[in-house]
Amino acid sequence: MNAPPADTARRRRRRLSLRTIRAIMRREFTDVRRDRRSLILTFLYPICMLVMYGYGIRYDVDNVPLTILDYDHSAESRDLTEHMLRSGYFQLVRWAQNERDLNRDLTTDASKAAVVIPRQFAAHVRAGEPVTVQAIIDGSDSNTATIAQGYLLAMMAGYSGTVVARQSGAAAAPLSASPIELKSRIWYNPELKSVNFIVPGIIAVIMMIVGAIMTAMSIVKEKERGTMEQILVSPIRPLEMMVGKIFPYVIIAFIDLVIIVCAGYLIFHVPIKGSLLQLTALSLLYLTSSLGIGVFVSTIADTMQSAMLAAIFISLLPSVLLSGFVFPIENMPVVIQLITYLFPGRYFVTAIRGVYLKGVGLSVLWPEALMLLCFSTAIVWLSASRFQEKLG
Amino acid sequence: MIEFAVDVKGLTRVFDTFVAVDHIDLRVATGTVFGFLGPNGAGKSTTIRMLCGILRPSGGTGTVGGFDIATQTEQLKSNIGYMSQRFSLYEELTVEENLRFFAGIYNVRGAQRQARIAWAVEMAGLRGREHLKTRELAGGWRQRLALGCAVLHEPPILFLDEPTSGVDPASRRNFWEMIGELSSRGITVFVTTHYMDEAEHCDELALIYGGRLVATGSPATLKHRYMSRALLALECGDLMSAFAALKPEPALTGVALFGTALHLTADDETAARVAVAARLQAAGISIQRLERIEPSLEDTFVAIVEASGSNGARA
Repeated sequence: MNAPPADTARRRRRRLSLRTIRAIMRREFTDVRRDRRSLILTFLYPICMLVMYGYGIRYDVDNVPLTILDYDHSAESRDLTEHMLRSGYFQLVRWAQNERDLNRDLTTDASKAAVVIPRQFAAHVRAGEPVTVQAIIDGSDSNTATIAQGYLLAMMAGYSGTVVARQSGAAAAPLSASPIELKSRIWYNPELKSVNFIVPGIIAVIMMIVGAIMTAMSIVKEKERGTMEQILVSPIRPLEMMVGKIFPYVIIAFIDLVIIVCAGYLIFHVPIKGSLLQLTALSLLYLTSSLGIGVFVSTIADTMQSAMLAAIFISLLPSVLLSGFVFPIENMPVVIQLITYLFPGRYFVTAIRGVYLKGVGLSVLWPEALMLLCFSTAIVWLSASRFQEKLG
Repeated sequence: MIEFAVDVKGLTRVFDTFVAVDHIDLRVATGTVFGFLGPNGAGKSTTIRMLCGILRPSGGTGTVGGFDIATQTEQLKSNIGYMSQRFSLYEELTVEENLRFFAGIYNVRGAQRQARIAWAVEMAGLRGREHLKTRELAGGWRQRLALGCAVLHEPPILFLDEPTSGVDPASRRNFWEMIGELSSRGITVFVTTHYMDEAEHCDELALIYGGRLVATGSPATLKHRYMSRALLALECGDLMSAFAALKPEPALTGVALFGTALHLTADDETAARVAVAARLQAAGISIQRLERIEPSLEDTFVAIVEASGSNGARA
């Protein structure tokens, strides 16, 4: 696109024909309209995903099922357990009578965590001596486990504070109990609703599906059916072909963007804090990169099957797994973290979350925007020159 | 008007180490129906793709419609129509939508567009079926629609790559009538086929074998030039045994299986008849019929390919 091979110089004399581009575009739209699968993929899928992820993925944990084994049966032990249950983070499964009960609850998934209060708990507390309470957490769901552990630690710390306070005399208590108190306030997403985090991520995924997968499939489909050859023998120029093939998907992606933003707002009450214009601009930039990936895939794959696999591998999986959409990048091993820099998803998800949740703009997000711009330019240039080479 | 619609010299295409087309010289006079024949894998499609400007030659130069096949591909493409054996139409589009699409990419516009689309519908016998999906059409109709799409922009040269493969005999005949009709309007038709009966419809023929051109000329010239020997048809009991028994006979220059008969070629007809009778009697095979026949193109090509020998035969 930017640097045509020398032998196409002669061809450049003719201007791009809008009529030709329009013919390609119109056919592409008809194709999408008549193909039920692509209709579903285009319009139903984003909503399904939003609902699925909106209700399905939850990083927020409440009502962790909890089994309590109280060996002490004292006023103090009851005090502690009530303190925990009152918090609302836990739901009592039952009072276990022995360790066997407790084991059964954890292995059958009836509870996710258990607390064991030892004999002599009250005696130690009254004597002002340290005492150990055992917590057992089901680690098979590491996310829930980490959060449950956090809750339990907070509960214990809170309870210890009250005990110390009570013992050192009511009046002066609170200060001496914990001289420094942490009061946290959560910004940007005060209710810690996962869906707020997920809606911007879904935009990243849908843009990849429409931009990369659908575009690649539609080009390779023509190769497979032989219609590409029929078009190649016409005097069409590669750029006309590319623009005509791509533009319908730009429009479809844009409609999807509107669907996701509106559905996110109407169904899940996810507001946009930042500028709608910047959100659109960033999305279009990201879409450009996914279209580039789509065209690139179409130049390396000869069958729809291999195009599908390649597109999923190069575009969809990174945008889900390596973008920070589902798994926080900070928690990844360093090597994987470095790999995330190679895919546009990471920049886009960071940027769009900034616009969406924090309401920040390009003054803060310019590094991400710049990286997206670099990536888009590079991939579009690469795929366009490969496309031209194949068609020329 | 240019004298030769196709004029190439030393056309060559190499894929990695495989020489698909090996120094071919072709001249197709404007307005003729030119048949390009050869078995599968002989290099027919590769040649046609180079002539259409969609495959870059590894070597050789030439023009199609007066435009250089290497450097003027865009003008070249505006002046040709192309239809392949796949009848590459958009199956999910209707007849009319397909025609409109090709009108669009060939920049056929305005009143001319309406006229050409109407003409193509008429020619393909698809009047009243304009709104049928292409997928729903039978093979013969799809083939004619594909032809209509290929000549919508009124190209002076038409390339047809095995246009009748997979189509019923009635449609094949019908299709050749359409080719004759186009040719009578002065369009040059370059057609590949491996049906020998179709080759008889052509004004000029070229035979490609193993990437090389092994014979050129009109059907009559070819038959005459390559079949100066006597051709005998033999019908007898056990064809395979007869074939084995006659193969080593020095009086015969060729033995080939043709359906329910053996075709024998010989320089001396009388000596051959005597030798055949002796050999078959020795093998215990009775002769039902042995007579001299006029060579068909198929006989001619068998003779040409045998004459071109091992140098043309490559895997």
